[in-house]
Amino acid sequence: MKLLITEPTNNIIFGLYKAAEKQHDIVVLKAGVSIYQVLDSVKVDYFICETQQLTQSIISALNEYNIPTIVFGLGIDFPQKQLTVLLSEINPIILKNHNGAIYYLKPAAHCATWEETPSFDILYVAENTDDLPHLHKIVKEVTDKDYTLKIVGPVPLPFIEYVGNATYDEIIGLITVSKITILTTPTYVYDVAYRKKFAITTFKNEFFTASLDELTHYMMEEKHRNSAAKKANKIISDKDIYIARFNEIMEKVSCK
Amino acid sequence: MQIKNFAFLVNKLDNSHAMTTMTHNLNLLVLSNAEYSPIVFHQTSGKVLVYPQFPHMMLQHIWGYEGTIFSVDINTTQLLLNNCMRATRKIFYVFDLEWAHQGASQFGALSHIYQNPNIELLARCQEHYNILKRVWKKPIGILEDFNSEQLIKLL
Repeated sequence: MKLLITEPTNNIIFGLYKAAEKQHDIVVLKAGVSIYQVLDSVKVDYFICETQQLTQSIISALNEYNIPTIVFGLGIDFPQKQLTVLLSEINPIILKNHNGAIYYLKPAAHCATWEETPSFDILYVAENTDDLPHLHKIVKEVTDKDYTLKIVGPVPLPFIEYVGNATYDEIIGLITVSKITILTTPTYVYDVAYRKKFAITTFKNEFFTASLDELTHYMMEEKHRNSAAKKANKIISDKDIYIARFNEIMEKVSCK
Repeated sequence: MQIKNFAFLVNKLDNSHAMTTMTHNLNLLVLSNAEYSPIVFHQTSGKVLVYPQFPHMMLQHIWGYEGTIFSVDINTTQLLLNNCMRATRKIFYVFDLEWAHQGASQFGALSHIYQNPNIELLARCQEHYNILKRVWKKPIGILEDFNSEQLIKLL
């Protein structure tokens, strides 16, 4: 199948696009390129985009060429076949007048490939500055015990261990080569569990229960770390990866 | 006697603290020991406090240089990785912990420099050594302010 997709703007949609790439012929509609120019030269089976990327010219072109569309987020109702993918439950009142089918996308693990980097002890994925109190404590503990630590995240943090912002692929790579990943948001928890790695989380989740106070214990006890990682991996199934999620989406849109 | 070739790749040969100590120590080395033949390759040059007693030339002459090459910052390490095909060793002398005060930087770009298998890291002091080991990779040693005696041991 030939899919025309717009450039992804968030990690979840990036995960789905990577999955789509493995199974289908993908044409990317780059910003600034006319959709008419693309549709005149390539026969497209489906168009995939995010609501905020829909411009008036894209909507007109899709209606004119009658291309089935998969849209992430609620937006405009198309007259042609349409599937709306939502990342969380939405009040049914809002959906009352929505014409197209709805698919609720559950979290999943990424199927990205990465460049192998040297292994180290602890990875801290800092997604915002709320992490600072945790980080001061961890950095002190890690420095005292001579563990190796890397902090990655979009906001520059005042630690020598902060090594910049990493892409989704790079973070997956770092998770794979670290002994412990510390997560403060659920974004990567499926990825850690899927790869049989161990995480300490500061939020409630079905995979990991260890707290930050147990960091030293889990650094010392490889067996405990591995058994917790195996336990988390048993919860996650083969259906919890983006390839399976993408296939479900395609099944749903083609059935409609 | 076999002459040991090595070179420093710098941005600007001028009167900054780093360049003055480098020139001073390389002068000491060449005047006391004929076994070592250093060259400094620079992108630009400025006023110098200590006159160099060794060859120094523009960066474009480095492409065929055979010997150990030291870079002194991220920019020159990038040049070292991309341009010096015949270098026998590529050593990044981490004179400053640049990533710590760069603000929003990309992990991929920093990792390509600091964790590159073709680059050996060299720390400036014990504290920097510990930081580099903890964050990136284990440095090959310590070179305090281009100290000529320590430099000899590394070559």
